[in-house]
Amino acid sequence: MFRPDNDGELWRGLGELSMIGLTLVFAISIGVLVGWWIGKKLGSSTAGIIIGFFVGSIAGFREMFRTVKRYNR
Amino acid sequence: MPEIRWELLTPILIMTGTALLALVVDLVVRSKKTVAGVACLGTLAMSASSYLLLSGLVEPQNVFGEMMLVSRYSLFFNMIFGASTLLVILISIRTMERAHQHQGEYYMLILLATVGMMLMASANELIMVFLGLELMSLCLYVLAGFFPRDLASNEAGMKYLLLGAFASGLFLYGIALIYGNVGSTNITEIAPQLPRIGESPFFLVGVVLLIVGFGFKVALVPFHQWAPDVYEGAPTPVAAFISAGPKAAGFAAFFRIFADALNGISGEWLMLVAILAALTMTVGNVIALVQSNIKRMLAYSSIAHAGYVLVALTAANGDGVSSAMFYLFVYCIMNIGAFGTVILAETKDSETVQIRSYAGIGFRRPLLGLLMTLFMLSLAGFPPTAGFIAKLNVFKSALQAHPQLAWLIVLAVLNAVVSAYYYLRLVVFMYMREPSEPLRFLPYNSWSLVAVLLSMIGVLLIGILPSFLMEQTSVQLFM
Repeated sequence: MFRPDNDGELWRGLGELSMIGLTLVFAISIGVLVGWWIGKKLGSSTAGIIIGFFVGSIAGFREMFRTVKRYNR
Repeated sequence: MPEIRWELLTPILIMTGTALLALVVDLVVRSKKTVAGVACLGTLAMSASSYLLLSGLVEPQNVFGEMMLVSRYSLFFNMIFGASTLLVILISIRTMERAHQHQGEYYMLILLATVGMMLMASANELIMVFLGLELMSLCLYVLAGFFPRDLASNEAGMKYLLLGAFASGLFLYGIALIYGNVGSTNITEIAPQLPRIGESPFFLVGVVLLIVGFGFKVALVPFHQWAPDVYEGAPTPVAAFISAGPKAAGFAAFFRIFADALNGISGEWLMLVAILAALTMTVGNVIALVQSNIKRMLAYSSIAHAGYVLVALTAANGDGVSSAMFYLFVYCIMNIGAFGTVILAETKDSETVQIRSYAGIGFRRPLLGLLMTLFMLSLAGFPPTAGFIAKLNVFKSALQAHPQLAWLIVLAVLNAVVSAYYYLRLVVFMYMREPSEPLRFLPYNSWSLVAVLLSMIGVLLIGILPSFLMEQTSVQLFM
């Protein structure tokens, strides 16, 4: 569990932890947008969205678990 | 100011009133069973008023401006929530009596969560969906961690809160992006705008974020990680509740938005949903195979069932919606029945949650063995149980709507075969294995037994005579 020693560390920690949710949102959004764009160029935006969605989700979850692990140490 | 037709809001008003009444009754009466009784009566009254409204309703009616839409669809979901809540209250009585704490608050939270579910099912605004979702979720976070001295319950509450908060955030981002493109959060105003905005990348990102938000709430793979830990750590009646009503509510809103408002761009999301359904069924069933704890097994089983329901969404038409409504009703009854049987198998010291502990139960506790076998067969989809008809309906509707998705139906059938292994494994343990040590079971609790017997009657009756329920679910897309 994250235990801050002082106020500065507390706010920095809270800020970084609140980034976890944003990381997932941005990773999925960027994955879908890039996937859609590449898919459109190649002729199938739907396939691009699907691939981008899964790549974004994997990236987002990976980053989320890394952040949580870092704070658990 | 628009005229409010209060009679259409009777079910929600009854449920809200009952929640407040339960809190007051808890203060003035000594016997906490009275509080449970009030909660049961209120839930029955809500279900009856929903059924009466459903019988007389021809056209969907807007309430509170266009914030809510009372339709056959929303009223049928009210009955699903009513059945789930009633059964959960009945199986909670002994657990709460043994816990000796905050019983009035417990029943109030269950009832308020049900109000949230009802708001979700009858929402005509994305904001109203979100309000219902939050009302439901906040109650569930508290319920999951209801036993503060139990570390597992604490952990379940915390995990559910954190991941639930992510889901809410993602859902809100989705709503914001859709609002940015449509200029309104009204669900009925989205469809006419689709030809103009359907290709907008940010609108599509909003749609995908809604899928992710719902994915978390109904535990679709890869957003399912919270479910096994929460089901295992939460008190068993709460796990039963989370696995039933809230999942149905999530799907009610999911179908309302996707099969209705976003139907015009189904080409964009259909394949994504089909892949999510395939992943959810497969991952849920495969991981359930190796579980040794029955609550975790039921958690993965409920993930797999979410995948089956999602198959119905790929139909994206009235038949698909009807088959999903039928499936969710049956699923709620049989799943709460299975959890109720786990509660009936309590020993003097603890709950019987290890699958190996069920060895020999079939002959030592014949009624318990019989009930558990029936629910396992229904969850696996064996005839003549309701689970079989429910699966058949879903697969048929999806195949008729999109023959090109035959691969998904084949995969779903294969998954049903795989699931039979872990459901029947429990039956094998109950009837074909000798117990390693004698367990001292408590006598059956009459309230839990009533709930489980009601579930059993439902599972058999719907399995043998499904036509009555099918008539109630036959909706012309959200009418």
